[in-house]
Amino acid sequence: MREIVKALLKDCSTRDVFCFSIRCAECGQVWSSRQTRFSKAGVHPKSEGKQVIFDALYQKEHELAKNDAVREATDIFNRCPICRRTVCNRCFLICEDLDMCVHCASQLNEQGAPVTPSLVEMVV
Amino acid sequence: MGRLKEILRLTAQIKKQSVSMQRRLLLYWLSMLLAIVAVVFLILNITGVFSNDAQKAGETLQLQLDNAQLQVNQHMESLEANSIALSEQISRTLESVLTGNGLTTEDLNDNPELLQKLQEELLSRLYMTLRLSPCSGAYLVLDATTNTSSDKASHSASGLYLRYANFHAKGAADQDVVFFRGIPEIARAEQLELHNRWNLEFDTDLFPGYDAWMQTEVGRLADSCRWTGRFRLTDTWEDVQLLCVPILDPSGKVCGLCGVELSSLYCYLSHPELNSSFGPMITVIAPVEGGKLLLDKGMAGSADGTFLTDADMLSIQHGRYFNTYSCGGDRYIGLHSQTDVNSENGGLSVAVLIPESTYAACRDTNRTVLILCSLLLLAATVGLSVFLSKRFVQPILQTLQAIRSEEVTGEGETGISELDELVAFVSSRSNAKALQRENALPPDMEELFRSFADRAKTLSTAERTIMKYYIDGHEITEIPELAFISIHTVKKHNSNIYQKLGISSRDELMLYIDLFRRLGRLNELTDTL
Repeated sequence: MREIVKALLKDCSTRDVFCFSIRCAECGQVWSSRQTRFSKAGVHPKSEGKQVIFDALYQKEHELAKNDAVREATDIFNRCPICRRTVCNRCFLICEDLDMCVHCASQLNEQGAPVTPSLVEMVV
Repeated sequence: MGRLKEILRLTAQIKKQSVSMQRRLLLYWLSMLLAIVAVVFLILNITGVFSNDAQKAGETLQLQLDNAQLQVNQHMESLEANSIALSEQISRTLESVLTGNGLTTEDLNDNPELLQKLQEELLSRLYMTLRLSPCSGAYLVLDATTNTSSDKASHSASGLYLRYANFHAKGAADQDVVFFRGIPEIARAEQLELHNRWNLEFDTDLFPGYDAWMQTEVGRLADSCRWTGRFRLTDTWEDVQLLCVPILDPSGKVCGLCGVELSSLYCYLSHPELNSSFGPMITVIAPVEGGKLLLDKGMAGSADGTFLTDADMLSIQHGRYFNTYSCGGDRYIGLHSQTDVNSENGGLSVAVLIPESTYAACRDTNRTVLILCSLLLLAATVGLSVFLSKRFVQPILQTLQAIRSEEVTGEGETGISELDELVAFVSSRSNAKALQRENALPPDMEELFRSFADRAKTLSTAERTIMKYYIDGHEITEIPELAFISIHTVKKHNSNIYQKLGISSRDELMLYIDLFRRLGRLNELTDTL
């Protein structure tokens, strides 16, 4: 699941802040990860060498922030076993035999309760 | 009392101590061995192998024979010594009388005055010999007669013969002496009573080989002493034996005989029967010829209570411990031994006899006692064996019964160490089983688990999938990765699972899963998944 989410994450990071987002395939809502400030944000490298170091540091912190975003996203997103789309908890239903997305459930006439009924709860 | 109580207490403690089965078995086998020994002992006693009555009888007879032989030898030596002394005294008297008158022994014939004078002088000596000697009479006979023209002159000889009257065993000192042979005037002068069968002179036929005696050249008197055989004294009811010692005249020729008399009554009284453990022992002094003990030529001591008579001739059969003497239907056991005493029938023997019937009765009694003792020993050992075998088996049976009824306590009270170990082992097993039974769920818990399993059947397929992850040991954080669902989805499922199973936390769920796994009943949960 981590690999799936990692592949779907969209990088919204800037020079100073790391941020990632993922869009629910069902409802289209975009989930964004918590923004993480680059440790050297606002600091101008004084030399070429520092620039290289800052770049490397940026890459490292960016990777860590992405991992954190993946971890956060896996708490929210599910993959529908029918359509194999990645949907948020609000669009993912707990069904009797097999959990599935809202769309598939309606297509298959399955009844289920969403994992998270409200968006607020989902975000939290 | 204190020590006794202490000993009793120690004994009770020792009894309580366990004894190994091997030692008990050893004790049992020892009692069995004792029983076998008792059986062998009984058989040997019945067959008479163990009976040493014959040996004991032989020893008793030999002891008595030695005593009797010593007594007879001393008696005979005493009589011979006194008779020799008498002969020498007579010879001296004869010499003084004849030499003083210038006569020879031939001159004594047809000379009653001289014979009377001679007898008067010899009477006191003869009387003293009678009194001093352990005998029943004393005599002297001179080879001379008062009337050579008489028809009986050829076997008639003058002499003196003094005997005890009414002889009894109390002792000779106060016995009345009667005048049996001799010149009556001498008896009257000495106030001696004449025997009711008195006679003036001796019948020389009484003395076997009398004529040969008179022709014999005598060296030493001690070598010439000889006892006659037993014969009936003329005109009396008594049997006697006479010790014959030659009387020498001044020229050294035998001119008469002297000696003492032993009557059968005297022998009867002086050799009373002795009571032994095998019956009365009879002493017999008689010659042995041709393998026979000639009682008719000897004398026997008191034989009351037996059928032994002085006319018997007992055939001798030699045995290991004693001889058997038989005459007709009468049989005796005994021993005999040759003495130093000479008689006309050769040497005299002393024999000690016991009626075989009394010996057999005694032997049978002893054997019966031994057999009874053997039987008692056998009974005791068999009883001991039975007792020990019961004691040997009883704790085993009791323990077996206890094991069957599952009442073993394992406290080691059987008294057998091996059995105690077995009881302890069985007890531990029983305890383990009991503990295992105790580990089984109580009825309410069983109901709880059954209802939990029933509730688990109400889970949806998706919930069972999640629960399967838990059963497989996965953590909750691992499930999103495995099921491609969010952690919230998992938690939602958890919430539903908890609600359906009636539990409140994942820890409680994991506890149930663990308990089902421990009881081997996990399939009750997984089969429904």
